[in-house]
Amino acid sequence: MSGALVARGLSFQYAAGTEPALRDVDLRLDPGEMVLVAGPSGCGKSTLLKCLNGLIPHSYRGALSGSVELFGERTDGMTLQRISAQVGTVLQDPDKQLVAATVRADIAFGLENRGLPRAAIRNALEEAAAALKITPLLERPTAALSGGERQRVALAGVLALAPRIMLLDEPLANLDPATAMELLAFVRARTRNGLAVLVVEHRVEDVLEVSPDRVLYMSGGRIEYAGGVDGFLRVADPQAVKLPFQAVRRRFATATPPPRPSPIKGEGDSRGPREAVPLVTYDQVHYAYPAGDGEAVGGISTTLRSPSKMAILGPNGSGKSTLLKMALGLVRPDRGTVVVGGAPTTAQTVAQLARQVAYVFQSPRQMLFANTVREELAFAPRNQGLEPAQAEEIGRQALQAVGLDQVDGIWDRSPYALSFGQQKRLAIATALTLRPRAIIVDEPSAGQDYGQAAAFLDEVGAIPGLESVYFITHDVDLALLFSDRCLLLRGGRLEAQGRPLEVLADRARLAAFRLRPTSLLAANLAASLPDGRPLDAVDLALRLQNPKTIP
Amino acid sequence: MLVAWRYRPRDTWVHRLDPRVKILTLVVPVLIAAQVQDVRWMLLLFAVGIAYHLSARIPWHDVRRPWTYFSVFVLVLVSVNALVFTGGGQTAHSRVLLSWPWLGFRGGFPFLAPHAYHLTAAVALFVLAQALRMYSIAAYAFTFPFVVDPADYGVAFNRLGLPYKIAFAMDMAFRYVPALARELQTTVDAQRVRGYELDQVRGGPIGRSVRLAPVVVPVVLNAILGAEDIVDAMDLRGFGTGKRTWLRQLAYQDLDRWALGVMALTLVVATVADLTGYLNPWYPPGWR
Repeated sequence: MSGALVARGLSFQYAAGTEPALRDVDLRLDPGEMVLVAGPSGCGKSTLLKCLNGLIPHSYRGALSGSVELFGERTDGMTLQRISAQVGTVLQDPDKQLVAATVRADIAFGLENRGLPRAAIRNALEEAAAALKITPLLERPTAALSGGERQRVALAGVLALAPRIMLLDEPLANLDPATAMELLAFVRARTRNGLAVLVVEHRVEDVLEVSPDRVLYMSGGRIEYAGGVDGFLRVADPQAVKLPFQAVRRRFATATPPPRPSPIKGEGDSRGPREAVPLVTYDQVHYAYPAGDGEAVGGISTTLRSPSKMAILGPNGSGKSTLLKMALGLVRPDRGTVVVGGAPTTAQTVAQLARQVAYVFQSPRQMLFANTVREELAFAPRNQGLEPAQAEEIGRQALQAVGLDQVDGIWDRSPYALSFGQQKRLAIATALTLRPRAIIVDEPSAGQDYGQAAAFLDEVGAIPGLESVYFITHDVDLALLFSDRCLLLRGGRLEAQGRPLEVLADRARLAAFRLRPTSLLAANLAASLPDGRPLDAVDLALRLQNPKTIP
Repeated sequence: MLVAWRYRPRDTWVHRLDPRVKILTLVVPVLIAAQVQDVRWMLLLFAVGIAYHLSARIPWHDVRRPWTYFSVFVLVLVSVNALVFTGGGQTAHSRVLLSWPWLGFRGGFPFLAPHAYHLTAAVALFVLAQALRMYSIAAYAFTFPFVVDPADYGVAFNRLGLPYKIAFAMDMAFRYVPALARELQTTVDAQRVRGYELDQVRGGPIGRSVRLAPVVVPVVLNAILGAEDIVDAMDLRGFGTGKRTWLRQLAYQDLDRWALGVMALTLVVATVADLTGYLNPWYPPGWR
């Protein structure tokens, strides 16, 4: 009997690629089944989805071999419309999936394209909206929705088309943990009515909570494992995929752990006994965007000290980025003062402020523009009026600090020809050419899996001469492991601050911030380590197994 | 994501107009104003335009910046025209309203020179009519994004006769402008923290273009990449593959019929009047 979706010997190489993105993949998805596809970034998960939903070969050029069958019929002879009538796809970034101006118009979009009668469109869209509990949002502009609301609307737009198969491409990437869990529970419930679901997701721990039927683990374009959850937990690399803590603990009860990078250094650690002093001080700052509703920042007073590592958490729209942009003078407060390095930001230019606190935006593609890495790195020093030779020397040091100097021919390569992870590091290097004391990183996990984001923060934390890292994140575990202090913001107000384990220990508080306690947080709290410093899953597993393993 | 202009739903007669009528307000007043040279009629068109704009009850805060920039543009244009315009030969025959004996504008290099300048009635009335014409057209243009629901753009263009693919492209293009502005702002911020200041870019046209690369390159590349994702999302929901239904239905009401009638009648009268010379420049008694 044929499955809902079957792939046989599927391989694909993009026209511009140098090696296959997908190699000889076989998979089968049956009605009523939920399958999780996990694996590190760049392992071919999204390419697999594009082959299954028909975007490859209809929209992407390249060399495709193998076959895909939809309910027993090969898809290579089908139009994209015929495939999409059965296969609904929810993309990673809802911003790029919402094409209409209002929620109602967006959910109706696919139904309108089918030329259905208006009454049928109305019924289907209202049914989908009710199922996802977004009926009150129907008349809202899509631009005015929060991240979680946008992803629900994107899902409703697909659900309204009544697909028999649903492909979800990292649907949780932009969602706070509580919203992510609601969405997963909703999709899981639909499988009981026969919907087949394939979900590609980095946030494995979240998906495992809704008990997928099977897991595919991919690496290097191949399926390395296909089977039950227990088997997956035994084979997956815990440093590439974030696994539940109990699974990691079981793994290292019997196996030797892989080599570990050195633990991060925080305030008062081996960098020396230097006492943290105020670098950025906010005093009753208020700010409202001209086109916004209400204040984005409503009377915050706090201090960012240096040296330190600080995580800023909060739901979308809570004012995190606005607050930190004030330290650079990119946002000038309506009321209150921001003092950086002893002087108010109003008395300093953006460039002067950036020499004390640099800012790395979410996407490196928002700043990279030059023909070569050499020019990119020379840009800021040249703007400061330095000579070309001096600018190049500073660029060389910055490139070395982020480890990119080991890449062959890096100096003359185009920044756009680098991988996303390399671009992120180059963005950091360009910020370091200003020789700041501290660096602000906006969402280090954007576009990277957990393992990459963790490695990235590890590396940034170890950059010589850089005293402090302040990062904005949704990821509780990143905040737990890579900061010595957390700020929790909500509705433009600072609601809590302190050491990560203290701030994140309160379940009621986490729920109010739409955060969920991860298994790692729970394990660290339960372990009550004497030095009070949280450990990552592998270290904690080893520590619990043998208290003398980790000093 | 594509974002919308700041549409403000309100209960005014302007908001109640059918979006097709509102699109026509961007076209018909231009066709009428282009034919009017008589400053008295131009004053009337200006008054109607401003009345339309005020009727929409858009908060001044929302339109202050466009009106300010536009006024600077009009002031520059009108001043230059007042200096260089010769009145098409009528200057010699119209009354001199103002004389500036020591600094004037010459036909050749160095253009501005110690030279008498005479502001004649022909020039004054010409530039006044020109300013009123621009303001009257702008009054409709600045009203438009605040009174048309962005969800109506596509269906309105389609019902005006454009094929649905083009109508939807127009719909997205209207909403793409503010999205691009947002992207531009983020990129400018990303470069400012690297010591780059947009307002300090100097040089000739080519030099300036090269120096704008830090902003232009990321914005253009991201726009292209973003557009590809949007095309994928539309393809996956079956766009452009067959007959399309628009959920939103448009129907003309009495108010729309009145508005269309007034616009059509005014356009016809203006065209006939223009052809018969009734809209030529007018001079107050004794100014010619």
